[in-house]
Amino acid sequence: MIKRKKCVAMLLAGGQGSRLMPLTDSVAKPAVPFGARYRIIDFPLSNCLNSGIDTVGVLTQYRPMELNDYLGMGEPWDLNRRFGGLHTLPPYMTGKRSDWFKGTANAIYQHISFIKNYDPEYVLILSGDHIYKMNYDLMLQEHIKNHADCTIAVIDVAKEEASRFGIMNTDERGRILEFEEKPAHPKSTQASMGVYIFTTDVLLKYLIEDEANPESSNDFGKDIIPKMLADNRRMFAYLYKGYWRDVGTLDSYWSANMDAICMDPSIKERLVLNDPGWKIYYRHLLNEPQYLGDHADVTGSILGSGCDIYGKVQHSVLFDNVTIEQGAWVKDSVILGGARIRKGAKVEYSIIAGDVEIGEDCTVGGSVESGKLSVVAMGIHVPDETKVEAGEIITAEAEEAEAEAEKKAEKKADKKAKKAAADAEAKAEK
Amino acid sequence: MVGREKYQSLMGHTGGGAVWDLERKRGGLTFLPPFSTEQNTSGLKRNRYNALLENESYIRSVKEKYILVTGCTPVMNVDYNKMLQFHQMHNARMTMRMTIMYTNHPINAQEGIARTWMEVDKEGRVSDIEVTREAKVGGHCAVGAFILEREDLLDILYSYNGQKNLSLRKDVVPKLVDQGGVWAYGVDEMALYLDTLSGYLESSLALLRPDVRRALFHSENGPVITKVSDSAPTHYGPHANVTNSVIADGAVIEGNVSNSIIFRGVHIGKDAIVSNSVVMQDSTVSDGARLNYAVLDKSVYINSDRILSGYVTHPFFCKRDDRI
Repeated sequence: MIKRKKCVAMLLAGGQGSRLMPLTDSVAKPAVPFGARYRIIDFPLSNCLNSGIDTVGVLTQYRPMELNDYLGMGEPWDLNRRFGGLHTLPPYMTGKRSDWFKGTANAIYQHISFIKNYDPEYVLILSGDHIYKMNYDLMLQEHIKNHADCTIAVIDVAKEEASRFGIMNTDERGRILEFEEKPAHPKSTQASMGVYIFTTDVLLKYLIEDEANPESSNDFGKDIIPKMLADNRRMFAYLYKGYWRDVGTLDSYWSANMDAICMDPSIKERLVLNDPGWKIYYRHLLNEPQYLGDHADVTGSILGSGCDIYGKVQHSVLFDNVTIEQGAWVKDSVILGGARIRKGAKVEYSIIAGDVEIGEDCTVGGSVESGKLSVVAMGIHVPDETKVEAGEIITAEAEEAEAEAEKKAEKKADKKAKKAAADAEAKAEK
Repeated sequence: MVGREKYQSLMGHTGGGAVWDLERKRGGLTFLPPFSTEQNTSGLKRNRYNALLENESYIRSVKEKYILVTGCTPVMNVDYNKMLQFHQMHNARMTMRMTIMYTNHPINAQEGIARTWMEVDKEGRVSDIEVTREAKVGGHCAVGAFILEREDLLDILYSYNGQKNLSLRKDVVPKLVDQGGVWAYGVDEMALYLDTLSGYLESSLALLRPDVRRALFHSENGPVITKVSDSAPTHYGPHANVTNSVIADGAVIEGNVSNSIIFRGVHIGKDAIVSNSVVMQDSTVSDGARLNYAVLDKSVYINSDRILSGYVTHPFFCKRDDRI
């Protein structure tokens, strides 16, 4: 039996995704559903399978239960293996120390023994919050050809957006000269995708040194990469061309979902989900095919399995087991699994989370042109004939607060009424 | 799972049975291909009796007390535990699954198919059994499944001394009925028969009825589990027009579909019109083509502007990989 792997992937999946609230209220960001039937983490995991990497450590931390259930033994991604395969790696306790992951580098440091177990020549570091289809093997070939210590995948971004990213300044051969995190005046447009390949020995050396440094924040972008650059290590940028989106905010999450609908071959860098040569694998729910009723009108949309559609759906992404009743109208929206839109309700430019029920004749959201995205959080039941304004975010807490305020107002009114009654009585007595 | 012929696709579908939680150390799915020897090359020409006879050693090797023998059709969602409880409660020797609603649904009147009819008393005791092609309105019709004790089944098989080419329902079961102890367990679950091409089309189109879908897919008996292929979501183009249809995942619909069943990975081109049809996996209906009462097998390709039409009793059929 081979006791060694060429390349092991470490997938950072512990992110909270606070900017994606309320979608990340109960799940880690990588477990957030995407594209009518996937979850965000399916993309890096499928990329691994499609790139021939069969050993993946998934570092979990924030709300791991649903993510762990979803990953299971890794069988949807062919990662259930005797030697290698998928392993979830949570933070853990030892006699001397116990700690949450302090930073991305510390997360890997805590699991050095996992890497050592497979004795790989190279370690691929991935993050679980981007939508893209990338052949990591091509990047690894470049890394090997360059005799690099570290290769960082970069993507060409628009000049005006460059200051939102970590920017690599390179020479003409791609060797990295300088790395700037969110520079005010970017010198190039090569943004880091958060995908790194390290030669294992070098990675381990720097992780151990970094851990020993009490000043360090134990982060790849802030500590490890700058330190390696300072030491004049061989570091190269690998230019990735293709669809890549960060889905870190509600707006970018919505727009990436809309990208998943597009099948226009004239758009060069688009997200192709039905490419048999580069499938995105996922864990399936048990459900039947979708049914479109007599008055259904579905155009420009993608739908998951088990949907029951009797109303109108335009330019939207519907996940598994969504029900759209007759006379309901959904436009420019993302409707997550198990949601039900009742008769006569209208939903526009919104994200409706899982198991939400939108009551009859409700109006949710405004037009795309308004630029204000509405969100209804998981499991909320919006009563009949409610109006949810454009840009409004409905969560359980918001509802509770509202209900409480109502109660208080009622109590106040009650007290006032009682007082008035008592006063009247007293007066009458007098 | 006893294979008879052309079972490669079936084996590919079931694999080791993991999808149905049947890849087990104890028990689980075992595939039993037809058994041919130099003396006996007739492994293919066989019925249930011969299938059981040839797999006698497998039946001997398993440890379970009871054995359920069933076919794949009719399509229905049933809980065999209920049937086993009935069997135990009546201390039956053999329990046959039975329905009295066979003739209630016109799609079941598939001509030329021999069915097993029984005389059954109030409690469920079977007193007579007959195989005939004639449908009996309100009669007790056997629905292709029976339970008995495994060792009893072996004894019954041994009692025929390896005699070949007997029929279970014509020779073996009538004898058991005479001996007594055969019971009929009535089911009222929806049953869809797929024994003829027109029956296949009609039964498929029955899925368009909400009560049929509920009975098959949302039964309290449990979900229907199938192998998945990680298809992309179903895509509806800007001019898609789909009404009263069941559409599987990975399909791309750009044209018009009504009253039809569309399988995984099917492509319906712009301005194509598909109605009252079944289009199986990975088939393509090109721009402007029209189908009415057609059944397309897997990977069929219909060129642009072709017009194919049959009728509900005589569907237009395209075999696998056909190109029109």
